[in-house]
Amino acid sequence: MTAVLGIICIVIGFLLGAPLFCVFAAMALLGWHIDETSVSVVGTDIFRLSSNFILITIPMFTYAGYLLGESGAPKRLVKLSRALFDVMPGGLAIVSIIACSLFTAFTGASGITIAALGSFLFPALLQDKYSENFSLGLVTTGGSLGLLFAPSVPLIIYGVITETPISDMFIAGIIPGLLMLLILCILSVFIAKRDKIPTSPLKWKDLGAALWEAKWEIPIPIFVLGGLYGGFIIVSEAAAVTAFWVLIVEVLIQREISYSQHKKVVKDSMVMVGGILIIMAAALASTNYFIDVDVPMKIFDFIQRYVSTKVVFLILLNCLLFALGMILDIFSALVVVVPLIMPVAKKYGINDVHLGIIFLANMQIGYLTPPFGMGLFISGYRFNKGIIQTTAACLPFITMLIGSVLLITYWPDLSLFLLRIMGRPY
Amino acid sequence: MNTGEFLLKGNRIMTKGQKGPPGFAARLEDGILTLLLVSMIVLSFTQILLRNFFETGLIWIDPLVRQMLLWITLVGAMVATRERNHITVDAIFRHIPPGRGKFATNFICNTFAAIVCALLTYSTFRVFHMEFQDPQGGFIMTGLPLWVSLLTMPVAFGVMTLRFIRFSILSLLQTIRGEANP
Repeated sequence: MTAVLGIICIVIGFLLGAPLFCVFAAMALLGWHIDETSVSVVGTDIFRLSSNFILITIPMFTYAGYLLGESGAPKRLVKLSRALFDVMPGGLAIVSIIACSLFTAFTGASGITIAALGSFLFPALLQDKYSENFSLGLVTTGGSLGLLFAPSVPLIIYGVITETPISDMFIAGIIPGLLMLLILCILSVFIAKRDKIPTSPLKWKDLGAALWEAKWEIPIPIFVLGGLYGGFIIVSEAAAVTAFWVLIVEVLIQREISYSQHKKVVKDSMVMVGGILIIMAAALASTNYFIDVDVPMKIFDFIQRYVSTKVVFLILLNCLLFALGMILDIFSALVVVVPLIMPVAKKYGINDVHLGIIFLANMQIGYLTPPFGMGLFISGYRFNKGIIQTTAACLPFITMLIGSVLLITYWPDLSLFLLRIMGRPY
Repeated sequence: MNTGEFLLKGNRIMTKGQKGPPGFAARLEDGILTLLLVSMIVLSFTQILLRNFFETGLIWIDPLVRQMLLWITLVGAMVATRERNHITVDAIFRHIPPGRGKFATNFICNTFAAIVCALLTYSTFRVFHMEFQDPQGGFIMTGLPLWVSLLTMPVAFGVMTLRFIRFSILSLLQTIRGEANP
């Protein structure tokens, strides 16, 4: 009786929009209560947040990303990339794709890319005579690109949950991530040629000036990406150095962030971090219960009755993640679904690392798909366009991304190839 | 996802410039967040310097920084509650027309959240209490017993419970009146 009532309440709360961490915590509390175990298990699980050293990278990277977003860094980044890429057709579109993915890698698909970069890339694209729909679609899609690159927080969270080495996740994401960028860049060049968007010759003076202006920010991606991919630094060191560097440069050297602005940046970024990690804590508690009562095994037994091959399982997985991406944001989906899906996927012979890449690539598209895709709403709100127009504008990009997700899913070597070269056992 | 920030601006309770205890609590929380984050960054950075250039390190930094992560999470969640900025599934909520329906939905969600947070307060308090009564309790670092860190959990969830109760009452009043401003 309690069980049925409790489940009804939880479902209602979930659907009507109660905070997700409460929904997950309620599942854990109810589960242990039915199990006649002390509910203090939930408290102990929440406290487990403090036992993982990797998690401390999340507030630091998020803070660094928010601070960079608030400073003049996005403007300088775009100026620099324009000086480099305006020579080729589709130059500004390529700039947008690269700048957005670099930025999203540091901030997660939190809408901040659209806010920080989109708001001046969009008018710039229009000024360069790109069509309104193409520009809108590009900027919206850009808000979730780059999730597969280091040091993206979703990749870190996936590594933490599945106990996969974070460095392996970072390396596995490179080729699938680049594939997505490449496909979108090709689309952009094609559109730019069709619409006869003018190009401008390379001006060495502009390039020099842009390089000089960005002198404080250029070391960050070089240090973080180079260090992480090259294996010189571990992720917790990269996070601390990045946060420290950004704090010193943007607040003390460039002085673009005033004291009160800095307070707001801290608050906004930490509300985001608190919001994500409290969900993670609650999800730790609820999955702990689910695993205790063998839910993954039950899911597996159920699926196995209908699905016999890996390929069919992957197709189902694609559909499931696609649907999930429309309702849940990436972080919540990760912490709730991954622990349940991973043991099942393992039985079908899917590698943990590959599963992570499939998961994120898939969720990224869900972020852009109607009727619930979050990216559409953020972008529509930001640029004052209707949801239908925004959706239509995103369609060509979504199609391209779906193509690349399928490639990523059914061609595991794409994710695992680099790891094998480096001698990891995959 | 901070979509709340983008989509529900009109729906938020503004704490800025609020006077009295709630305003004080808000400033205190924001201050603690900044303090925690900056000390976390500086401590981690110091540790890296010590490790790489002086080949030494302070043993107490790593466990302390890990606890700070928990504290940041809890305070961040408290602020998120205050600003109604928690991550939710708003797929349905977004399509409810403004007015009584929306207020009533808010009431249900806030009540649900208040009950869950109250249970979490109880659950985390039990964990704290067990450790507190244990004569051989653990230490995070010299001078900082484990129960201090455990105590932050029931305090944070307690505050969140009170906030959700307040929101719940406010939205109930709004549902009855049928308008946003009491």
